[in-house]
Amino acid sequence: MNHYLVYGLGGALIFSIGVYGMLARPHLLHKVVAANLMGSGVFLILIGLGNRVQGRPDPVPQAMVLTGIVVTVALTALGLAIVKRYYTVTGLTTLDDDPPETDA
Amino acid sequence: MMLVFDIILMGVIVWIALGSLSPRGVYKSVVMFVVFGLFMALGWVRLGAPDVALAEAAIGAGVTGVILLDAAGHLRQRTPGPILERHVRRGVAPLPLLASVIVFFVLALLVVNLPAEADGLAPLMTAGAEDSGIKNVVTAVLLDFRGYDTLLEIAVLMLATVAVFSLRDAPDILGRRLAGFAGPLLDSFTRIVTPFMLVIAGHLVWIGSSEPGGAFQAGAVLGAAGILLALSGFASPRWAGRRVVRLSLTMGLLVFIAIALYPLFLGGTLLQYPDETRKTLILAMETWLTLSIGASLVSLFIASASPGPDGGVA
Repeated sequence: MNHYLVYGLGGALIFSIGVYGMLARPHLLHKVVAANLMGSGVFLILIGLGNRVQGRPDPVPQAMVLTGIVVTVALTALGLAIVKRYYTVTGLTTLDDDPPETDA
Repeated sequence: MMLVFDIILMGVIVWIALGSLSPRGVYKSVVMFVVFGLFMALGWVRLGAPDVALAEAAIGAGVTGVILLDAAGHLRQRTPGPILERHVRRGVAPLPLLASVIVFFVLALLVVNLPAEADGLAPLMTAGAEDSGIKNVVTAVLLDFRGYDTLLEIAVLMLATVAVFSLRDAPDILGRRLAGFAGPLLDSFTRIVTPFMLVIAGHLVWIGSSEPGGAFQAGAVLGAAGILLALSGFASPRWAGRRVVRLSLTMGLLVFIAIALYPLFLGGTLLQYPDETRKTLILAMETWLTLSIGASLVSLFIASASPGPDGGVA
């Protein structure tokens, strides 16, 4: 077993954990975190597979992941801004139609 | 031996990832996610990607953590006390679990079935990087061979900043103090740390052409310094509206476009830098990118940050 496999499979696992969180967790903040986890899973697979070469790891996936990290923070900030605006307008932290938690 | 370390590290990362989706409160999730970023940085070092490790620690864990924490605080403004989710599902939801298991097996099959040895682009890139005089191959890929990616990325970052600005709750938020934690400890911490951060940012962008580092990492450190200044009350959020900040926000993209177009006048194609001025152009671009990325990260935070509980005017 090569070490690229450990990270490649780990990336697949983290991506699927993100998928689960995105589908199963109602809180919008959890969904933003889940989207980040999915991104990290993709990054792990990319750089993990770039380690299959002899000698120094492939720099191209690394550069792509660097770009990806910056795009992910932009995505997170925009997503959170939308979540906060949604909360201000509706008082909800989930996409369900139920009243806010305080009324429970 | 190192394989054992890899497996343990990956196990810890997966465990923390599971913890970051814990239904027991959003704060716990956010803190776990920050820890997740730091362990990921360790993983990047193990995978021979120090550039990515630097960016992950500063952006993935640092900046993302700060904006997530701020959002978590904002979402409980009307619900003091611990967040008791009505929808807490302690059990496992069967359908999402099935979906994620299927996704895992498809991805795992793809990863396992790829040939264990690949040629990769490393030799090609290393040879190309030697020609261009940029010794750090990752920097050469980012700004030279794959300049398109970086150009579009900085455009995405700027658009996201504009969008976050237009989504902010109160139009007058720029005139308010942030929900900071100003106090003597943070005060002196900021005084000591900020100059070092500025020096580190300058250092990272300068050595970026030969060692791990570059515009992204430097921009992240710069952005973190700005966020620290805003949180500790040294810099008013109003600064985000200043012309200097807005200018540095856009200059990265504008300079990049100008440099990308420059070869066209020499008869080349877009982003095909002439050999003799290549290194100078790339360094100039990196400097502006650093300022732009730093300004974007600060603005992304400030534009969406919640005002202080007193709503005081800064």
